[in-house]
Amino acid sequence: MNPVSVEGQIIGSVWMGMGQALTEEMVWKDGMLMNPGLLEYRSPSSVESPEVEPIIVESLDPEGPFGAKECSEGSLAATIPAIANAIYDAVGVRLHESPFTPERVLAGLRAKKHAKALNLTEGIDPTAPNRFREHGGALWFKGKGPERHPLDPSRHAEAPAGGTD
Amino acid sequence: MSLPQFKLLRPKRVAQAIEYLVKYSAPQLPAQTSRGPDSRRRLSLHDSGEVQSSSTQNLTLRIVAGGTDLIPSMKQKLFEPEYVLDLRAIRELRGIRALAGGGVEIGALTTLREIERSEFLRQHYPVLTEAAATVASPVLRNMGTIGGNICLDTRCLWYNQSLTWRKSCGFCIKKDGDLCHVAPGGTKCWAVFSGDTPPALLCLDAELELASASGTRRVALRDFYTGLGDNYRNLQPSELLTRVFLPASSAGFTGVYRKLRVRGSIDYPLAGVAVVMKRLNGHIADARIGITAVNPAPLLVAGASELLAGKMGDECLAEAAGEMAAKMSKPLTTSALTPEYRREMIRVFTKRAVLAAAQAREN
Repeated sequence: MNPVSVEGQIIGSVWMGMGQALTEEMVWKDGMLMNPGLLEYRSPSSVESPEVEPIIVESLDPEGPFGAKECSEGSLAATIPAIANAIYDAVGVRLHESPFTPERVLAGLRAKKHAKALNLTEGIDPTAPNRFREHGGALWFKGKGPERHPLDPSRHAEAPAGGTD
Repeated sequence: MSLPQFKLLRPKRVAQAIEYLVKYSAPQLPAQTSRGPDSRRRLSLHDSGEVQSSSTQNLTLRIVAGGTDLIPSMKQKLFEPEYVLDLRAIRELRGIRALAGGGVEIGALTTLREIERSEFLRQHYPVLTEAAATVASPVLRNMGTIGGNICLDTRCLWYNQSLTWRKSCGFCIKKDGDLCHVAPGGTKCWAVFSGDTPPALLCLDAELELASASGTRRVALRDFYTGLGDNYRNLQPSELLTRVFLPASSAGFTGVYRKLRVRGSIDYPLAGVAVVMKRLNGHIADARIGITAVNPAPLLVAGASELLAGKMGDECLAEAAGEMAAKMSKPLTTSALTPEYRREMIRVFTKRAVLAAAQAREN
């Protein structure tokens, strides 16, 4: 195996995890993808991309064929909690919903300080499962855009304020 | 998504460009489009009355300079002109010239890169170079022009989408439809103006030169925008933006531009604040604040000069200025950040920009 391509894999997956953790989000509204282009679905540009220092630990993995070990997206899974922990370390806010956009951090800070709340979960669709919401936690598209089907329960039921996570 | 068919016109002089404008520019008749509005109207959810055609949207001729905004929009079938007038061969509209009586004249075709790198502008009008340096990415700044940035089409999440997307959602009032998705029930378009340089130019009292067959006229930039989302500028179809003038009186202002965006590059502003300031003996002698990307037009914050003039630039004052700017901004759900957050950031960025301008080294 060429060590340079292994390092490239690690750098790439850290970058990809950083995008998932910070900016990349598919925003849905009634089944329509609101950000179908790369202008609005924002993956990090070279400005945000940090220097990544890959360290290759070579070992014989008894589980893999001929002692081989995966070397691709392991670092992707680790990047997202690493950034979440960094945010907690910096401002003391635990975020449970990626991406950790600045507005979510601000909403978390406001909730913590009991200051003027920035309610991003107002008017959650009552029929939506707790973990599957339009636009992550912020349902600010509610009432916008084309009207829902007349039989859609969300047109009748007054939506409660959403879960707190 | 592919470009629609059009005929390319490439004039070499302004007079020739105006000739083309007079000859080919006319509001488009519904029958002329291959995919007429009739077929689209059937798809819109609220089928009531005539489709309103805004004068900026359905022209038979579009002007292209850098093409960084027009070409993607044409691919999304937001514009389907018969003719595209390419200004790039007009050399007389390029370049930055200091005028003899003070002030500066910037050709409309001057690229944002040239403005960003101009030593003269950096010395005398620093806020403009700073604002130009934040536009998109270097690749786009090499192509994009100051005239294009001033005339930039207003943007909206429900409008800057492909034809297929808009068809499935239902067309909006800005293009082909008769209702607004952002403010349902209203007939006003709320698409937001997302240029970076206009707030800086507003603070610097810029004037525009518009050329037409009957000669040229000069308008103040603050009168150029209408405040409407669909018909956002006071520019006749037969007129051409040729030059931007900055007066001598606004030279020497220290200035700061702050822009909210998710990425450090490429993104349009989601909120933008330009602050210019002139100081005398440690006190603010004159100051102006311009905001962008939160209203259908870039605006000067009314009352900001009166608030800031004659005071020390301290934190309390900056906070008051921030409140004032936030009050002027009316962001709606036109982009993928919540309006509440964008208004909040106008407040914070104004405060920071005022503090930064007040603490900047005096020229």
